Amino acid sequence: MRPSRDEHPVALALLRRGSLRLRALVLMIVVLATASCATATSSSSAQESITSGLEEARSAVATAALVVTLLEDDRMTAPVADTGLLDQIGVLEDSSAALMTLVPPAEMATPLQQGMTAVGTATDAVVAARLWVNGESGASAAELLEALEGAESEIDDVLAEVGA
Amino acid sequence: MKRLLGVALGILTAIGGFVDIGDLVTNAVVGSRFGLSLVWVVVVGVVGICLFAEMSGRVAAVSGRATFEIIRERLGPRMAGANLVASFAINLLTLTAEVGGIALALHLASSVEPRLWIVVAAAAVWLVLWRVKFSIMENVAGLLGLLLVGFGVALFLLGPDWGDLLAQAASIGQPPGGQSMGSYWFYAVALFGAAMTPYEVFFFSSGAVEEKWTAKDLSQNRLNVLTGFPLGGLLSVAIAACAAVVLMPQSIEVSSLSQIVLPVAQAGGTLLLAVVILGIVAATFGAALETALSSGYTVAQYLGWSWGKFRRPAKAARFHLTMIVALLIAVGILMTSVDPIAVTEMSVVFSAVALPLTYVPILVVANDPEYMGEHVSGKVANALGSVYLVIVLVAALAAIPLMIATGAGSA
Repeated sequence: MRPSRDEHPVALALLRRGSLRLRALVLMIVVLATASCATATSSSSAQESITSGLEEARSAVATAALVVTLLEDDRMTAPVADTGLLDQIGVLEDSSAALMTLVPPAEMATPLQQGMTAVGTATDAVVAARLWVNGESGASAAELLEALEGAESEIDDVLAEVGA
Repeated sequence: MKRLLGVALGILTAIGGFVDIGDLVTNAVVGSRFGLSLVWVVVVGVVGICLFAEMSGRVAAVSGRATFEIIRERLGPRMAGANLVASFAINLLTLTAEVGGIALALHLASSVEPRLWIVVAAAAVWLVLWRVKFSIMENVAGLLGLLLVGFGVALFLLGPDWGDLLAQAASIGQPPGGQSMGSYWFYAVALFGAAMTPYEVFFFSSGAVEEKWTAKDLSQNRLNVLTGFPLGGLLSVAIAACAAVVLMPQSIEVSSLSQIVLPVAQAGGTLLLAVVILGIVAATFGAALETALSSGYTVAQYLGWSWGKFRRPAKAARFHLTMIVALLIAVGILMTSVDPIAVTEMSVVFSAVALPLTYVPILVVANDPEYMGEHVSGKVANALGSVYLVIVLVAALAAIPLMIATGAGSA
């Protein structure tokens, strides 16, 4: 028959001590997790977040440029191009949301503002490309590619300023 | 001649059935970020799945029992029950990713909202499970999945610098500039999980019972696995290489299915693009069938219900009901607008976590003379099996810490 806990005071004490330690550990984890969720962001983590958001945006613009080139060369169908651009608009939306919700230290405020402007320019260029794919724009492929290239270099400039 | 055709068909379906949404997404993401520096993981994963599938096929053919019947018998109902919960959850996640993958591929081809396709895809999967014979289902999906060879054709048409690709492949443990070591290892685990998904083994061993394999079929089993899976692995490498050649130089990070096909369009134009999209639909559809069946197999085998496609649905009602419920849950999850690509990335990582749960019992049973008689694992299989036991355990233990530390590879 299995002995009950009451018959083993030493075991019970150990269990209680273990239980106290466990509670302390859980409390520490909760405190640390809560502290890490604080709103203000350190300079290095703000730099990381801005860089990551801008790199996503640059990837979206490069993808859009490739899609426009392929469609212009008749190497892709319009539905595939439309889906491709729609996906990239989603990426830019996420990238924009990531930047907009950042609370950086004062020295990072200007790059963040420039980053948000660059992502806005990129979004405009990709949206224009999607209108063109759907035959709702008078712009030529060359003009769209120029706009996308401009958006990409704007992002690159901010990335260089942030130090990526 | 008939036997030869059977062997060829088995190999071709093993190639076409190897790649699923997890392989597609993970290889393209890895190719666009790390070039071919993680190709060694595909090799490790392919050898592992060959070993694992050969063992489970051999166990099923010799003992006449599928994986989960054996797991329950060896581990007892309580431990096997815990195993079932974890395996079923991972399988459900994979099923969700596959149904989402079909919807994304159809969205790509049509530009019609993917949530409309989710319902169509799930209904089509259910209809095939309900009405179509096991062998037809397996062969058609596998053969159409072969269209993914379009990635290999695209790679040759792109005319890459082969020396550069080989140099990338040789740079083991050295991620390209700008990529962190943590993310490199996170994706190593994800690629391993994508190649060695547990559902493949549930499907493979239960399929052996469905097709009434006996010890006489062991040589064909070995041939299918040892030829088909490595060739399927080459398709995975081709996907990664296409991304490495076209997307990586432009700093394009893959986050959607539409980006994965861009190198194909660049290389082969609309015709090759159409072939590859059809291949993606077939591969994800085939994998959705396999994962849905695996849901039914695991639960029915654990609970001792009658199961199998060889029985009419009315004779295996609870088995079919389990598949329907699994499909409905998958549709429900996808309808919340969760990104199927994100689900896929999670599913391959958690596949690595859950792998020991099925790998260890199969490894033990394949060595048990009571079950296997003269067909117990040989010295080579045992040596490899032990090495892979360590790899599987390390990958399972490292997966979640790496995921947390790297923000799921975003660091």
